[in-house]
Amino acid sequence: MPASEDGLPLEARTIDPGVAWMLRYQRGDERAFDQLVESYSPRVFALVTRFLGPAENREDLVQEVFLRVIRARAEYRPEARFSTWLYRIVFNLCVNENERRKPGPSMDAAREETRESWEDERAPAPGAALEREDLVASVRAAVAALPDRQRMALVLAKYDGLAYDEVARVLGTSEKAVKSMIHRARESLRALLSGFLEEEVA
Amino acid sequence: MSTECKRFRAALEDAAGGPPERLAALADDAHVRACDACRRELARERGLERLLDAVPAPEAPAGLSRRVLAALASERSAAAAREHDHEHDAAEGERELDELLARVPAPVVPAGLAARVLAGLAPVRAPRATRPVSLRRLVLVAAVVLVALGLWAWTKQRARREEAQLVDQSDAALESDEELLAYTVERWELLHDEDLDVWLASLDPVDELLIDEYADGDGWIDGAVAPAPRSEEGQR
Repeated sequence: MPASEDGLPLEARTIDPGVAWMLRYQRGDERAFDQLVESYSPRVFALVTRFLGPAENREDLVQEVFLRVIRARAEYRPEARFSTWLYRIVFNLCVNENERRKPGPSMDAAREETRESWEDERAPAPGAALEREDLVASVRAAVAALPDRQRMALVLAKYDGLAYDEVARVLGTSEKAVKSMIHRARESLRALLSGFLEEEVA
Repeated sequence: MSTECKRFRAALEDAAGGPPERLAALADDAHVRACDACRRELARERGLERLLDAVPAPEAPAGLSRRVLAALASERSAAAAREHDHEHDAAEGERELDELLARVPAPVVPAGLAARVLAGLAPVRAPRATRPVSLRRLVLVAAVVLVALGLWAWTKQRARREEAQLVDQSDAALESDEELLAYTVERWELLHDEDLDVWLASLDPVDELLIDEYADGDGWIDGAVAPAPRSEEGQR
């Protein structure tokens, strides 16, 4: 496979513009950093939201993520997709944030809190039944009740479409461990959401 | 749980959490159409998938990138300045080091150094071919070679002599062995004859005729029975 001047396979640069931007930024191209922020900040915001819920300081966390990108500029090595490297920073920050916010709420309290705090977020379509609001709030609360690593593994695989080996890179673990985490997360969700599931299955 | 159920559950575990189409594809599995328990399990997983899909994707607030970039502007300039400073410091450091090194005075070279060095090296540099060969050394080498050759020849000769001696000794030993063998055979025959006499003496007097006949050298009479040893009754 022909290699680019960055030493990275051309295919990798074509598939993952994030890697190319980061390498250009590493060489002093400040515009490449602008492109990184414009392209990845919405994804980082969505991941932080899925993981932490509608926390008020999410935007600060997004800034913090890119601040760490600036500081890690010299050490960056294009060993995987750029998002995998970036999400690892997001995960570490989110876990720290979660630690800071503990102790967490109980499942019932979380559901109530979730329902109230998510009000300013994108609500279900106008005219949707109250049951649907309850369902969405319950699913969010059930996901929020999962342990940190299980929650991040589930969110990355389900909503960001990362393959198990990429999730493993983000969490700094093995692919097998990720598979097990996701399996346990889904078992917990099935137990927590059994009422809705019976309706779904019926 | 049957083997087929186990196989299906493993496939279900693999597909759940992956892309949704993998889970959907399991509905066409032949086993799932026949097994109620596995069908319910698949339905629950697909139900959970629908519940998770029901949660709307979080939307980034408008102007997020712009605000993030604005907030990081000072950090970026600081980082760029740090980098510039670092590069500047490095260049400055190099320049200062060069200046310091330049201030170290050059050592004073003593007068006539080159001439003395050349003089000291003269014996080493002289070509080998022109050096006279010592006659004493030549004679010594020739003597050593001659002595070595003489020693070698003497050792060879001695080895050959020892070998010849060994062959002679071996031949002599063989001759004496043959004599010993002949003597042994002779003695053995003698001994055998003595034994025969003892045995013959123990025969009944009635058989003496036969013995005489044998002793006369005619051997045994055709059809005659070999003499039996004398019984105790006969002895009495």
